Amino acid sequence: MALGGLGFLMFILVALNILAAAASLALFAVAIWVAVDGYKLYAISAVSGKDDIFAAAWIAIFTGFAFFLTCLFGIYAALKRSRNLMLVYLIIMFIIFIFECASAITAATNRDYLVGNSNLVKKQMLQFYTEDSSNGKRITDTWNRVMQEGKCCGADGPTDWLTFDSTYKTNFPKSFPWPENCCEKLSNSEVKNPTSCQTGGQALFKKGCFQHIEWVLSNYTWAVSWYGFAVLMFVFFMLLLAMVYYVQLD
Amino acid sequence: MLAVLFILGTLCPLNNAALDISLLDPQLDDVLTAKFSDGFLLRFPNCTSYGGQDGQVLYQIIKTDEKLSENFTVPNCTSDKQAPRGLLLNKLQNGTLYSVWYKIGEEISLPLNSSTLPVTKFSEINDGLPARSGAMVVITVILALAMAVLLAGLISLIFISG
Repeated sequence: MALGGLGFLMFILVALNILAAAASLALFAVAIWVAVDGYKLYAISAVSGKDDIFAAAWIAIFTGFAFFLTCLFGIYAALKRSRNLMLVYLIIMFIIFIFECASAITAATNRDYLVGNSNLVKKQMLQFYTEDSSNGKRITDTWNRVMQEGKCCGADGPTDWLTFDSTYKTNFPKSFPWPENCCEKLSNSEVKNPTSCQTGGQALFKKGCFQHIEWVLSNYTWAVSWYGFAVLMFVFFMLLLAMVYYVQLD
Repeated sequence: MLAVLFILGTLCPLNNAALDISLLDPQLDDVLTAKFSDGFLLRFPNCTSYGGQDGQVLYQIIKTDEKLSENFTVPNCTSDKQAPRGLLLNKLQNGTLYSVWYKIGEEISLPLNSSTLPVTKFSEINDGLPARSGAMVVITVILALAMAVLLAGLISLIFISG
């Protein structure tokens, strides 16, 4: 290839590496957002042993930053027109590519297990809510917060507490048919209208919480998996171009 | 005249003159449900006729002899929306057919037959993988192909440079 063509290819490669570096940094930031879990729903995935969405986020933190550094190295290798450096760049990028693929696929698969339907979340709630164990405490705290903040009750609705048996009913047989956090509360944490709450009146939150939980976990998944996929597709074509550039170098 | 009064009297026996019993209607009475796994939500007797009076709600499992009762007071008529909508009869067995009736003074309502809700064990909920989503399949297939293409390209490069 003429020197002019090679120079143009080098320019394109440098530009693509700059874009890839920026995109990778964004992946790094988004993965941190997922790992931080601002909605505090980690307990729901951890107790079920299906917390791979967060594991994938941790992988994406490292691969995002690794992509960023390697792209900077790629810019240097392209400007130097060095075959050896380009080969090292390609090998390192390929290794990071594989890890990031694992992260994207893991997040998407794990989401299907967790929130493909409401059964897992519902069963976990019925089993662990008010259970006297470390898992029970985590689930109880999480559900109490979710029900009050989301103004919801149960996974699919308050009837979950009627249709199925539960640890809550076993531990509190004489209490309300559903947890107190299913009802409006005053600022001092007392139920606003205990009679209306107990009989399923206006004080009871009638929508289920699964929609909110599914929305949060899906957002986490799409952040890691779809954005990771987008970065990978961009890097894929950039690496193909880098291979062409490598072949053209003396 | 006496015959007419006699006929009217047989048609309108005193023991169910105005006292009736029913479950609350979730759609009309703004409650979630009138049937629970351990009880019922019963409509109070008419507050105009019985407001302030003490009464009993009697119940028994159908085809058994044991009759149980609980005392209550019929609330006075009120427009307060926070007032109880109905009488909660609980501590019953789940999935069981009961006969329930009111007694206020000498008046007894007709019995109401209703079943409490059956309860399913939560351990029977199937929490396995429901289905693989399209997104997961697409991502997996495309990335697997991309990895294969890159690997093939890298091996070719190493051969060429060798």
